[in-house]
Amino acid sequence: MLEAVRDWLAPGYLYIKAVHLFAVMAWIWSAAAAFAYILVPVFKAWRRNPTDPEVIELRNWAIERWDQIVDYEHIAFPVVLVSGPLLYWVAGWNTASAWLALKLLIVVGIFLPIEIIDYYVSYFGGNKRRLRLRGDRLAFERTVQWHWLFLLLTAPIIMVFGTLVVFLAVVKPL
Amino acid sequence: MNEPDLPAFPWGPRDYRRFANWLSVGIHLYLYLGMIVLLYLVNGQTWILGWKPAAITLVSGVLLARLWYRWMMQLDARYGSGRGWELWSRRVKLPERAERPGAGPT
Repeated sequence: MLEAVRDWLAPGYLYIKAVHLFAVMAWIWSAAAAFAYILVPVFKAWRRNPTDPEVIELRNWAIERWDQIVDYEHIAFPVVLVSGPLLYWVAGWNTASAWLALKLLIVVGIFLPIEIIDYYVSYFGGNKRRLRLRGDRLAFERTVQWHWLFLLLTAPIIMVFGTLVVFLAVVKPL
Repeated sequence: MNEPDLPAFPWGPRDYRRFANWLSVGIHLYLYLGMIVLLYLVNGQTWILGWKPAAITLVSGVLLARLWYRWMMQLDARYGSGRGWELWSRRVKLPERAERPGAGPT
């Protein structure tokens, strides 16, 4: 049965690959400009003026918008997670290729945990809009601060390993 | 939500250094051991046990820890004077999402 499905999908390998690439690009880059030119300047202003009420107001608005800005990224990531293994299975790849082994380790062990936390801080317990509407100032502030630490920690890693993963997939150096 | 009695941001450069060092060590250990499992144990390739992959892992780990720390410091406004920016007080209206009937806040 599975073999029949694989044979049926095999001619569409390049189409699945195109979907995978679009999703990877959306995942890596969709929020990059907003991060660099909106969120970072606003948060730097806050870090230099931590008690300025007007700066805090702008910071709160920006981080609430950020919870929405990452929508594209969070739609793309599940597409990556589905299309990637599909490519692996349909083409009969295996972990004997070092580039693929390294890529899989990065996606599963680094990107996946980061994204799980990112979904939580954007949509679930860490959603700023929901916290603001609830009127819980302390929880809102702690969540914003925690979210900023999360972004400080993950932005460098996403840039370094995101670039590496694309390089590995395209060049297949090992 | 603008009162200044809210808790201050509790993390700083010492934490960033610690995070960068330990997370870089953890990530590189995970990737190096993972590659040994996938290439050597699963596929019988012995080259992964040589000195070159170990050396590359070591150099990469040190570079990433350094880069990571500096990047965090940069993002968190710990480097530079901030003189490239000015703060202007303006009265503005900030757009907020409207409540849709029947939909909870998202």
